[in-house]
Amino acid sequence: MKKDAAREALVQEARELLAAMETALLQIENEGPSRDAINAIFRAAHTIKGSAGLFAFDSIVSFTHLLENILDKVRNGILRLDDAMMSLLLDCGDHMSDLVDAIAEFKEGQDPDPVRRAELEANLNGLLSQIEAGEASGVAVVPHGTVTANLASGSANTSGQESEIRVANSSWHLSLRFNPGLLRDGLDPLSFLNYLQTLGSIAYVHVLDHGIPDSEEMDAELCYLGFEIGLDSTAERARIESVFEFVKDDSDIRVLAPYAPLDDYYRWLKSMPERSELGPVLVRLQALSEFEWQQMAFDAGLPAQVTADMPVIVQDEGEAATEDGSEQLPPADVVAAALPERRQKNADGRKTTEQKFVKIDVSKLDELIDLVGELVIAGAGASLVAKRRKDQRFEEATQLISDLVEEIRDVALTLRMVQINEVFQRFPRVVRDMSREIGKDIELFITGADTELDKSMVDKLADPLMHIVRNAMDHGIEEASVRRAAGKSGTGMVRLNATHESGSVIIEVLDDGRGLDREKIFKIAVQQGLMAADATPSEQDIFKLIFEPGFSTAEKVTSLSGRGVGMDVVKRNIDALRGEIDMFSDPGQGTMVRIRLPLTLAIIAGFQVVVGGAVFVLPLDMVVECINLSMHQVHNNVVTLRGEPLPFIPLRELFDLPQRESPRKSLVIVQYGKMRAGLLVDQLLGECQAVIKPLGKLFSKVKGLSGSTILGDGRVALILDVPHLISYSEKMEQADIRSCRVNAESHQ
Amino acid sequence: MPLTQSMRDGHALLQISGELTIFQAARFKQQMLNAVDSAGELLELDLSTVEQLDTAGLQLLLLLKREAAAQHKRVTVSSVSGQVQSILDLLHLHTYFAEDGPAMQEVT
Repeated sequence: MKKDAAREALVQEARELLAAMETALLQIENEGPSRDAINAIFRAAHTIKGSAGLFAFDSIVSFTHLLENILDKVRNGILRLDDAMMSLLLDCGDHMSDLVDAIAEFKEGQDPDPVRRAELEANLNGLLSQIEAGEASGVAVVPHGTVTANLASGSANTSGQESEIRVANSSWHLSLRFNPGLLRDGLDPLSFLNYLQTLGSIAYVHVLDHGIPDSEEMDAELCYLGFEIGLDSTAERARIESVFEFVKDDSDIRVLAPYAPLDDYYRWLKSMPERSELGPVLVRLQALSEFEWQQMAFDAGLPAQVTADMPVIVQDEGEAATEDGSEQLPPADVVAAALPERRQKNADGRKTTEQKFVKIDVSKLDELIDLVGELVIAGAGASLVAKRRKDQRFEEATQLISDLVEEIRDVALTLRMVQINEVFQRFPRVVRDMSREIGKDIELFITGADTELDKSMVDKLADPLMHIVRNAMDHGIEEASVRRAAGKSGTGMVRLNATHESGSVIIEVLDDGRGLDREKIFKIAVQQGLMAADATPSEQDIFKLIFEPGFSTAEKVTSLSGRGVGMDVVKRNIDALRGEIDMFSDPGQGTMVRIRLPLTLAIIAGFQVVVGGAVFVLPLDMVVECINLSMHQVHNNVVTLRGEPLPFIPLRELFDLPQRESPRKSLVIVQYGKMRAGLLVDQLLGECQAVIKPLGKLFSKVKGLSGSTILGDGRVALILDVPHLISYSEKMEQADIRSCRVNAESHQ
Repeated sequence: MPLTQSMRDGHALLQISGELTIFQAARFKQQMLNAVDSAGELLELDLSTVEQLDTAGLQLLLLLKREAAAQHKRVTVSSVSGQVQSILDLLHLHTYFAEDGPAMQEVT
């Protein structure tokens, strides 16, 4: 179980990183290379490799390693980011994403696409060997600034001759000082050592325990131990270093090659404060010979007269080394290239973002929101008691509590809200790839990506949106030649837009293509018997046909504009989210698909009304105004309001509730989208917090009600489904008009 | 009880069984140090029923050894489980925990 959870976390993290990598690549493609973007890509690959390495998912580790090598060259300006390179990197990202999917499905043992992998690896290796060839001939190698600087600072000790002296040690020497917090992170240095044994045999090990503080101060959960290890292995440096990939950001890991220049050892030891203890240990381990060790002490440029008193001088030297140690990190061979400094910075940067975000199980959030819901109900109950008691101070206190509860409710709900960018961000890639595939030049514009909506909806929006965008590109936008002939720019445009509007989220997909052909859709509708040949449907009604399941057969529709292929599925998805989808089109100018979704599902600000003795709740953000009906002119359930006719529904009749005496009838005017209607009620009770409880299965077919809620006094109130009631009032109005006509005709 | 203190042949015996890892480390530390404090000249460690040992556990054993040395007491490990043995093998620490093994700093 535990391992599965870890696997899930790994997969999720990898997917996020791959998305970030792709975003950075596309950013480079659009805006040219930037240091930040290149670093972001490198970091993503690096972190994925590190985490995967921890679980020994070797397939993804080895591939990512190769990619990382290339990225490193890019980062150091050795490789240029041209078009071919960009495509290669994007393809590599795709392949990694396949590998991650394989891990998610517990199929990490087999490569999802060996042919593709071989192809990509061949490309990457080809680039690497080109660079190596270049390096050998002394061209194209541009040493990084830091490297040169470090070499310069170390050059005092690197006088040509001595740098040629190499140690006799035939093993890799590994010096490990772990971050003390390592154990708390669930990592165990012993497992690294065990893993090292898979790369070769351990020639010598020494456990350094002088780091353990006095027994009182010692924190048993911190790692104080250091390790000096000799490893006989034929593996390359990168392979050995990769063992520590995941910890090297905040641990001190040195890897010295077999027969390494003595200078490397010198520089490494110079940076170690505990050098005086380390030297004899190294000699005993035969990592260094006695002679080599002494040689180094001389090499440090000590005044001849004090060399006799070695320990003291070593002490002095050690201090000197720590004083300027920060400036003199060992370069080149001691640790791979000049990376450590910058990696450290990257790691710091990452830490700050980690502190900004905490990953929380969605079920925990739901639980919290449920509890806040209960709190809202209990709070309403308390204020009711306070009102009955007529105790002013009690009432004030409950008022303060309910204000706070309201705030908590709002904050709790925003916890579930995420930016729609989570969905939008995958479209630049989709549009890029598809426009190449279909040979159209199409630009994507995204606006309102920071609009927030419920996380669960974001996830379910991806597929429908993908479908709509693909349709727009494939069928909406014309060939460049057709576009130019029509006087439009050769480059097509697709726009994604999101905004908030009266308690709902609007998502629009617009294109500037040929638009929908109303006549032809109508013709097909008649052929299929969906409409009478002499009907005069509105434009909206015609476009709605596109969402009909039977209508979406490709061969009939592609010839006009192609819309409708699978659009019924899109509509079903949106319906499932309690949303609405509409199409708008101007022939020759373009098409717009508009999706309207409710903001959230759990708690709403409600407006209570009484009808026939029962309490009903309306979503407050749909209520426009309340009027006294007796003050206005009424005819056949239509009221004339400020000169405009407005249909209304007498709720008492609609729900067949008993007649009750009420001094005056009130009309609540509600709005959904651009449609308005009135609801006739007996009494207005005012605002409340309503925790939406779903209606039981039995009532799932009931129209006009969207849920129920519990009132402060424990009674159940039904929540009215305003959008449905508005469309019902429309139909009633039309039916009225028709019956008027029939009456008029029969009188003639 | 994972930590058992008793006497054997006139000297103190500390038996550790089950896990000796980061999860127990904070709890065990004081108990292990107490065992050293209360022991006479010799403390015998029985690690034959230790099922799991990690770096945190090993660190405690090293601390115990050092603490004993500071109090001029000897620590001897009478028997070890296979799991402990494999870690001692990995780290080349046999001599260190062998009877009368010298404290680490003196190895050189």
